[in-house]
Amino acid sequence: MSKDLMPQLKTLLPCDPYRIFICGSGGDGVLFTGKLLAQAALRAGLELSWLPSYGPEMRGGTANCSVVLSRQAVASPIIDQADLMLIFNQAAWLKYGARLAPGGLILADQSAFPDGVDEGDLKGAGQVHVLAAKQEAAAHLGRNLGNMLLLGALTELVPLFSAADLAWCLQQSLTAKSTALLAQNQQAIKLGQRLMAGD
Amino acid sequence: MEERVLMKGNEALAEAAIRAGCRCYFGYPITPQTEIAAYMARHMPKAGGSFVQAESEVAAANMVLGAAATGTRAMTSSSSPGISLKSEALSYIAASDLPALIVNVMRAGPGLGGIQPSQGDYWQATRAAGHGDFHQLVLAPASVQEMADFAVLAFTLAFKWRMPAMILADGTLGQMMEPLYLPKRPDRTPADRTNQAAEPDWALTGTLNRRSHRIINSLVLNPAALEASVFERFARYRQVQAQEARWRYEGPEDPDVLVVCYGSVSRIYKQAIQAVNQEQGLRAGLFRPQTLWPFPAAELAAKAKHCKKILVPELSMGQFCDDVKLATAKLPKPVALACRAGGQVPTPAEALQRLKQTWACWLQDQEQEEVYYGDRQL
Amino acid sequence: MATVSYERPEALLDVPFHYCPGCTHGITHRLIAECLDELQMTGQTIAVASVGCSVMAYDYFACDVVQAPHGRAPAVATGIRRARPDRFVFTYQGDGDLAAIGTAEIIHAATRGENITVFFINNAIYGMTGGQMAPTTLEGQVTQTTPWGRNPAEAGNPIKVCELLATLDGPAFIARVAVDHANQIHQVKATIKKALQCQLEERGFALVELLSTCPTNWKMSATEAMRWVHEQMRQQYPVGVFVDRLREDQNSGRGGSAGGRHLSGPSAPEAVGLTALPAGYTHKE
Ligand SMILES: Cc1ncc(C[n+]2csc(CCOP(=O)(O)OP(=O)(O)O)c2C)c(N)n1
Ligand code: SF4
Ligand SMILES: [Mg+2]
Repeated sequence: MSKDLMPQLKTLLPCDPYRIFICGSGGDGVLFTGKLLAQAALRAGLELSWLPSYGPEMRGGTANCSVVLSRQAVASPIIDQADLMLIFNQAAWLKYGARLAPGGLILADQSAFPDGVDEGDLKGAGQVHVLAAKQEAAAHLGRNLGNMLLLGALTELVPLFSAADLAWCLQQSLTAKSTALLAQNQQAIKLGQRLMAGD
Repeated sequence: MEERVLMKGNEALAEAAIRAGCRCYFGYPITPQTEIAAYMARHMPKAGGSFVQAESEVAAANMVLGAAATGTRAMTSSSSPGISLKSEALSYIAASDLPALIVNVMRAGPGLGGIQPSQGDYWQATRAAGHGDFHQLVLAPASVQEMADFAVLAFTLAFKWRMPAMILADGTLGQMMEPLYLPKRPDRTPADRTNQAAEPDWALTGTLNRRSHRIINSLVLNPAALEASVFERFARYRQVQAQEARWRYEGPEDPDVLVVCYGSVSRIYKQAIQAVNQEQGLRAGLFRPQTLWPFPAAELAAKAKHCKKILVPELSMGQFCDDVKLATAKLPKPVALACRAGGQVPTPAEALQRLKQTWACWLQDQEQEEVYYGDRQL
Repeated sequence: MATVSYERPEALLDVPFHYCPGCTHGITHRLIAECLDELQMTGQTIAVASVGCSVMAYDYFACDVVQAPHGRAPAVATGIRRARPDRFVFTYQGDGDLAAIGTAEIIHAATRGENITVFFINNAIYGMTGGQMAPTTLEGQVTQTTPWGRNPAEAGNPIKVCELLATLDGPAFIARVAVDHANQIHQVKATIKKALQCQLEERGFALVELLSTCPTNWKMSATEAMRWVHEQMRQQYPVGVFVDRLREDQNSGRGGSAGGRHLSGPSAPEAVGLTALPAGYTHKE
């Protein structure tokens, strides 16, 4: 890591430990989304754990992963409540919604709430943000990059990592793949940022 | 300073094993440890070593027997059903006084069971890894850092004591990612494999017509000779027990409740213990064996002396609790056992509840010993 | 008036398959079930499910099913058949199960001429565990444990199970078919049926190898996967009948004897009744 790329430790954890839960289906990029957050946290000098659901999930079904961020060594990588939930579809919301910690933050793709958000279901939630992430990604980038769009939106909501942090991590993890793919991912992050800012 | 990297437990273990000089990996796919094999398939050839996907766990473990007999650092990895198939070779490896690393990333049994985390192979690992009188070293990591560190330690101890070493992990530790510092790369090059100076004096490397032949064997038909060899081995085991037990303690010097557990479960209870210690009233401490054989029995007894009650949470049906009770039998302190099975893992909230529950029981009756099956108190 | 022309066979329960889109496990299950129906065997049959993606076959077949340890299905089947000679037994095994960890069991069940029927699903991969090399993986094929393609010098050569077992005197029927095109379905089904008939007639060991797809771990679409079976797998694994004692016995006017020794076997694979290469791919992607 070269000097000028050294991260500034400006990451603010809304609480410690900060528990993030990401859920959707196999193809949503759930695990990769969590991995990017984990890498950004590593770069910011935080302690963290990343725990995926595993098994023959490739045959449909839901996928999830838990990311715990802390300034001290993470005690439990297994979480029962999440301070932040990224939700990619309705099945995931129905299965895992109850895990939201009181006052927690939900950032979801529109498909998670096809009938709109029912306030009754969300009693404990501090904030709920729903974006047409998959739809927008498909319309503007021609790919299923809804997860990157949501990550972009997240940078507007929580002062965890900047879009630049995420872009840097993307570059690290996508180096082997095409630069075009990298550019598309970065565009998706920016688009998410813009959508959220105009939200 | 070395760079912190982010890796899965399985991959960290594999990379650390290569850095520890492991040059032969033999395996067979099984969830949740397959990343070890996949990592070895990619990286072992680059290290000048050999990766073989064997036709079965039986074959893989016997390939380890062969490689170990040449004095090479060799390993295999599997998960519970596959470990049962390795038990034949394990017994032969131990009987032949060969060093080797066997990794068990446990999943829920018995039978084909499930693929979620478990600690159901505790008895198998510490008591009956195969037929006959023998032991293996058993190391129990609780973090990705320890997955890597123990790979190095396992080879060191296995070669020091000439016996098999097992890393007993579980699905959570294998699948999760955490930042870690990898062990330093050795200065030796792969070519050192053939370096005669480094060759142990028992290894089969060919006499080259310069020395008398060596035999590695486990057949001893003369009962007196076989007994003598078993006695000799167990004398060595006593030394291992005296010297190699490892453990960690976190918490106040005289906790009310001493939680004793290992592996990923200790991480969940650590969170609960931190939470209760911030409140008034109950004070709890965490005793975590890092070696399950040898079991840190004396150290546990010393710690347990100052507590009022012992709580043993495990992902099995009291297998580990047996050793805790044996170690503290002379005190005695009431022991509560909290079991989960089938791949079910307690949440931090459940751990907190169990801690408070067992303390409430003590307040009512200082001799009570409870058993919990999940949320149900028997 | 509408007539029902396509129904669920009775030998299959009304349970949705968990298989991936484009996986041929489902098609093969159905064909076996249709044959069980037609031969009215279901009630007398005890199936042995193996370890692999098809492990949950016990949920799908309406007959009794036992689930065997990885690779051991032929041994478990032997036990059942010896305990209850009045029942029919079939195993359903993947290539990892049958040709790697279970090599000893299949060879010895075959050489004993056990009166069982084996359905051998060759998809050139370990599907269930996420795509590692199988003994049948083709040379050069990329898998999780052959990241640069299977190199025979290090990872060995693909195993031809039918050819291997055909060298034994025990088997009564051994054939390979490909589930790679709609025009193959009748052929596949006829072969499955024949293998079951073999058992009905107490002729001894029968095995059908089915060249199958695993689009998920091959990282292909369903159509690409079918095409890959057709264009790649068939080259390594030619379809055909390798042993057919029923036919021989008919030709020589002999009756069958279970697991009997046969002096003459076919010197080359006969492709009787099997299209070695079906009409090429014509449908559009
Ligand atoms: C003793 C043992 N080793 C390993 C496994 C893990 N395992 C489950 S399925 C499987 C491979 C299945 O491959 P295959 O037989 O080709 O069936 P497919 O999934 O491709 O249909 C393996 C290795 C196991 N269950 N038991
Ligand atoms: S992983 Fe492969 S073999 Fe298994 S169900 Fe999916 S396509 Fe079929
Ligand atoms: Mg297969």
